[in-house]
Amino acid sequence: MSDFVLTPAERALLQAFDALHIRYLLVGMGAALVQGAHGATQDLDLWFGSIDPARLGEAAKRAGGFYTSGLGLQPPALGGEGLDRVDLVLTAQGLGSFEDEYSRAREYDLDDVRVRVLPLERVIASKRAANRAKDLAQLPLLEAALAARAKEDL
Amino acid sequence: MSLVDSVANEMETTPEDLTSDQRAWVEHSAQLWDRAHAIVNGRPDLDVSDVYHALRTLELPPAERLRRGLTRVRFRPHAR
Repeated sequence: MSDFVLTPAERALLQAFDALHIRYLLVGMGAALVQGAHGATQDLDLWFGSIDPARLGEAAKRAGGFYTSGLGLQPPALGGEGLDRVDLVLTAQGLGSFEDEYSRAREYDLDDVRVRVLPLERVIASKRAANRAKDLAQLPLLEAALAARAKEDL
Repeated sequence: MSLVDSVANEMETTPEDLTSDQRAWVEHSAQLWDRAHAIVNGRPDLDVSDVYHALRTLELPPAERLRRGLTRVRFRPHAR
């Protein structure tokens, strides 16, 4: 098994975002996992304040993939080998503006890439607002992690 | 009876025969359970086992926490 949590393409993509000054936040369950939640997810949700197709396309290209702005029911997405876990998030329920949330984000090192991550308490707020069954089902694990973090001051 | 004694008993051995790694794991686990119970005291909405596992997870580097969460899905039979 690889020592990296990110695929080479994901790592190249995040590095390209940095190089191209594309701002994003890791949100959703992936953000919660980084902050200690004992759960599971199959994708990495990246929230963008705004979508610039040209720059996203360039970032995807540097990662060996491509960007599609979507068509019909297909939302904007990144495609290509090793990028299938990445989901582009355009609107986030229960949260403030991207600028506000970005300014409060935590920063973590993932495979030598600095990644800004939505704080766990804000992940919980967004999942409460989304109010979907799968989000509500995750709340006990997220609340437990938040309580553990508060106690440990991590 | 201490947790170390209990584990040794279940392994049909004596506490003295536990390896240093086994003893350290048991003692650390007992500490985490104590902390988990302290956290949920007054928080009936929280599950003590969830808090215990969160405390364990928080001992890992962030990238490892994410790796485990993504790996758990990989072993589910119907995951894509």
